[in-house]
Formats: sequence, C-alpha cells, structure tokens
Amino acid sequence: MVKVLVKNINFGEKSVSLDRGNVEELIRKLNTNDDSVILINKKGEIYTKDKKLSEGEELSLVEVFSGG
Amino acid sequence: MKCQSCRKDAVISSSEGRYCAVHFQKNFEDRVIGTIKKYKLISKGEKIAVANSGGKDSLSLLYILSKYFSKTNRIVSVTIDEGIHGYRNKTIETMEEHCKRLGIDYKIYSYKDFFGKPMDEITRVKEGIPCATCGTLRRYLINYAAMDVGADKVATAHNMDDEAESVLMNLLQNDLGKLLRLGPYSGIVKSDGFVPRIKPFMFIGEKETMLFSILRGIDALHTPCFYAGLGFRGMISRKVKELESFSPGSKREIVTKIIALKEKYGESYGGDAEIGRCEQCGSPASSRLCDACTIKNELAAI
Repeated sequence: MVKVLVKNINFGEKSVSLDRGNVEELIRKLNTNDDSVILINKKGEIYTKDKKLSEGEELSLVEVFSGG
Repeated sequence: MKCQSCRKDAVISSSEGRYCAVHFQKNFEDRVIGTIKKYKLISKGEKIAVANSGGKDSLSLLYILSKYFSKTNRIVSVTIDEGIHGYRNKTIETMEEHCKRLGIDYKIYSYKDFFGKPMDEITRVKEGIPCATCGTLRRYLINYAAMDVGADKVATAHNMDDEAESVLMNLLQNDLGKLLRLGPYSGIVKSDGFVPRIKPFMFIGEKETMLFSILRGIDALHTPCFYAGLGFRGMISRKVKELESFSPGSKREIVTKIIALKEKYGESYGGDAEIGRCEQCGSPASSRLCDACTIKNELAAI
C-alpha cells in the first residue's frame, strides 16, 4: 500500500491510497481514464499508466480538455 | 514502459505507439505533415490563416505550420475574441506573445464589434446552451477573418477527439449533411465567400496535443472555457475519451470510417450544389438569413 498526493487546478489536493501502487490504479481511483489526464511528477517527468509510484510521491494531474 | 524507438522511458503509450519525449515530438510532427501531404491540405504559395485562440491546440498548430511552411507559404494568425472575461483575455495575451516570438502577423476579431455583445453578456440574455450560439458566431467570424486577411485557406486545430465527437453528435442528431462535411478538408458545398477549412491535426489525439504543448514549453492556459462541458459536445467528449481508454484506437476508427464514407457519398450529397446568400451580410447561407445574422438580430432585439 502506498499513499500519494495529487494536485490539480480544479480539485486542489487529494491524498490517495493505492494497493498496487501504479498510475493505472490511481487514475481509476480518481474516477477518470488514461485518455483524459496527464500525470507529471515534481521533477517534470511524465508518467505512463504502468509507472510504479513511491510512498509520499507528489503528482500534478493535468486534465485533457477540448479547445482553448 | 519504454519508447519503441530508443528504449528510454516513454511519456505516452497509446494506439499510436509508445514514445519518449524526443520521439513523441518527432512522431507528432511527422503525422501532422503526413496528413497535410496525404490530403493535399496546403499547396506552395497559398496564404494560410491559422484560427488561433491562444490555447494549446492552435499554438501547437501555429508552431508546426510556422516551422515547416513559412518559407513556401505566408502564415497569418486570426483570433476570435468571444468576450469571455478571465479566460479569452488571458489566452489572447499568450497568442500575442507566441505570434511575436514566431514573427507571425495577427489580427483579432471580437463578438462585441461584430455582433454587438460579448459572450459573457450573450449567456446572460439568451436562453439555451451557450456553446451552440458561440459555435455559430465563431465559425462565421473565422470565415470572415480568413476572407479579410486574404487567406486561401484557414487552418484550424481540430483534433481526432473533436472530429470523433462531431461524427457521433451528427449521427445522434441524424444530420447526414453535417456528417459529410467533416474531414480534413471541410466543405463539400462550393461557394464564393467561403474560405476552405483544413484540419492538419485530424489524426492527432487531444491528449497528444496537450502533451506536445507541455513538452514544447508552449505556455498555454491549461483550463477549458468556463462554458465548455455544459453542452452536448461536453458529454460526448467525456464518452469518447472513456471509449478510447477502454478500446484504444476507437477514435481513429470513427474518423477513418467517416472519411471513407465522405469519399464515397460526399459528392452525391450536395457536393456540386450552389449555395445562396444571406440577405443581410452576403455570406453563404442555405436560407434567407445566415445563422449568424439570425442570432445577431435576436440579440439586437433583446
């Protein structure tokens, strides 16, 4: 079990506990899907859905939206 | 997950492939140029107006067209200011910065000047979902802007998500005419006064465009329009992304099928038809007044 902190422009901050501890599980727990979000760590690295997350890791969640 | 080209860590994995940051950007640009070549979207010497909102999609498009076509074509930027305070004024600042950096001329056209009211006021006084009204006014003004700057074509940053959404919306609304006007080169009805629209990002997913803009350091505002998501398109958009995540490649299938359908039936569905003129503004119109003038008159009467 790992706990990560997710930051987002709309919902602010959310602490999420994960059993398997990867991005795919995190996305599912946030009730979204892989085509709708981009996850970036504090160093600016972009994660794919298989990425294993570490305890206490902080991530930014950028939502993919239409238009501009 | 590793990049399929170099085995470095991938930044994206989709039905289009698994790529690291460097190879993703190369693949992205190659696919855009591939679409332009395959569908003959841009010919040497043509003046191309980029419909540029200052958002991630249009700034990415402006960057690519500027990079690959500025020596053979004249690229100009046209922006529609709908008048959405706290949103469009911010993206216009970004648009201006990018145009100046790339050395591209730009011009701004506002709803307030052309239709008498900004979108913030229109949403207060006019009933219904704002996106439908806004879409009609924006399409009108983009065409006007493209004519005004003397463009041969207007390039929009509509992507594969937008196109798949439009296909599903038109199917659900039983609008075969609109369905067959979709595709990388818009408009099957021939008319003076209509600048052909091209969509170089037609086979690029929305997530890919966003990722490209992040990796390129294109500092676009990463929030949607305040009114987006209220309309039918907002709901369909969420469903299309769910569908793509559940069954990767679905968006491309939808878009590819509609192009095949258009190639087979497009001409027989109004391709050679001549279109009339709006009595009020002279723009191409299928009835006495164009949709934009109808809305303009409604707004004037409120």
